[in-house]
Amino acid sequence: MSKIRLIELCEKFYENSLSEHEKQELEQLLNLSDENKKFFDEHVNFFKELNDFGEFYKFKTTLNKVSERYSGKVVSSRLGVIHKIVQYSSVAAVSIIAVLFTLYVTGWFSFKHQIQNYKQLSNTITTISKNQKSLWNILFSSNEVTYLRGTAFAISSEGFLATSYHLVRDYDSVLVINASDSTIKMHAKLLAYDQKLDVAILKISDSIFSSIKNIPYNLNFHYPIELGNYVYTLGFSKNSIVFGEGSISSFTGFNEDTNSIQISIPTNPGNSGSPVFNKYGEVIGIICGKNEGKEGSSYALHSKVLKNIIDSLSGNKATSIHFKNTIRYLPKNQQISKIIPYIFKIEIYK
Amino acid sequence: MDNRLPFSEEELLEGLKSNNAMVIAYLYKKNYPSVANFVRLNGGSDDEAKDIFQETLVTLFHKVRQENFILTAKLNTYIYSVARNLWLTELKRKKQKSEDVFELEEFIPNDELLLEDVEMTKLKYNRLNWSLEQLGEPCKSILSYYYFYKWSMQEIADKMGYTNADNAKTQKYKCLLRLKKIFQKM
Repeated sequence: MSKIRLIELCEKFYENSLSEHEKQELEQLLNLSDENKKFFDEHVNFFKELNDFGEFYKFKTTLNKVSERYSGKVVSSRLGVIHKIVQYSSVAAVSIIAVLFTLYVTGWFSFKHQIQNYKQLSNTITTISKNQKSLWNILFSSNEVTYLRGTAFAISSEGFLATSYHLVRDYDSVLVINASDSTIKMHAKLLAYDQKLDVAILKISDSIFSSIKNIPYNLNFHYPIELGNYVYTLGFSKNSIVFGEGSISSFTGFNEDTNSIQISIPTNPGNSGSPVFNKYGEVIGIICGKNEGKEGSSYALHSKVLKNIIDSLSGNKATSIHFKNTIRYLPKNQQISKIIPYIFKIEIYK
Repeated sequence: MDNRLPFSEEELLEGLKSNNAMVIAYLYKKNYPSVANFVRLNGGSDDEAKDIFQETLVTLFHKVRQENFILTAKLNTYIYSVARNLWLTELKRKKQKSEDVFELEEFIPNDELLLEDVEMTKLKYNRLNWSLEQLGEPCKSILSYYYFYKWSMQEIADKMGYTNADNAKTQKYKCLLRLKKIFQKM
């Protein structure tokens, strides 16, 4: 214990923040034994080294960022194409090898198993490509950078966000922008996903991010679906946040899918990943798509499917998923203004 | 193109010392092409050129932080010379002959660059970095947050789940004592 006090005094000495009283205490400790004196000299020096190392560490971080940004520009255009071909073909080669390897390792027995799964998979594919239009936006900004826009919402203080998987599939980089302050763009990475259910968990990975405090809503994993119940959603079908409301109109989603429900809220591209709230301000679903043929009906994934993926994260420090609802009895407009800061616009660059 | 310098040489050195991203980006833009040309013409790849340039700026960073550092040539020349030195050393390490060096620009000879002390610093930081890795969690995070990211003890306590800042502080000092021991042993 005395060692800890001594090292604290050493640090304060190094920072030049000793009080008069502490100065006396340090002097006494140093007079006590030569060992303490040696300890003092070594550790004050060590603080300097540690501090220098900290400066170097910051420099190295900046340097890496700058060089990353810069290295993209130095390749001349022709070289760039060759570079890309090489890059892509190596990626393709790796993928092919990976597929072959998997087939080889899993053997014939599981191969048959895969054929069975494949039916389900193809079902999902037709679901998305033929009838159900994925709610994403392909935008071309002036400098011809293509990105998708969607919505995500906070589910834990560590910066975990829930959204639709189809948005972030094949992503190159994901930026999240807070609904209440559009000037701050932060990088996020894909932490977990379930392709079949079309749900993904992102984590804000930007160095400027610290934490998300006081999430006002909770996730209701066991919400009993009743037709006609009031629901509303907040999402980015345009550049600023848009509110939409309606009712639960069917127990099941597209093609009688029991993992999702149908709601009578008109949704638009960009709404993918938007949370669906009930009148208590509880998240009961995530907008995942709509039926192109039928106007005004959208599909939302039931929040129960979020539970599995969140549970799978529990080994991943997602321990503080927030469950306390502080807006339950507020009128709708106040609920909404409390919720907005926790909704994020996401931009996905490919 | 505007040919005026947006930074004076003193500003560049000061910016490098204080970790100014604009200055670092500027140094990249101005100096990377000639360094890359030198490396490529002398048997290096694009990636190697990038590595050498990063290493050059790291060397320069350590050098300008030394109290007795005086820039004796133009900064461009100095950067080019350091990069040249590093690449020739790398070639020697790879046992490729470097007798016929293809020279592009004026440079300061290697023995006048005095980079030995920088090598010492680099080794020391590698050791410190390695010691931190050895330390494991939660110590590595606590110390990094405090000494590198400059978080307050309260923020660290919140992030790491300590009941209060004092507990986190005690833990920090315990970690520090262990780090010092590991670092010393090496």
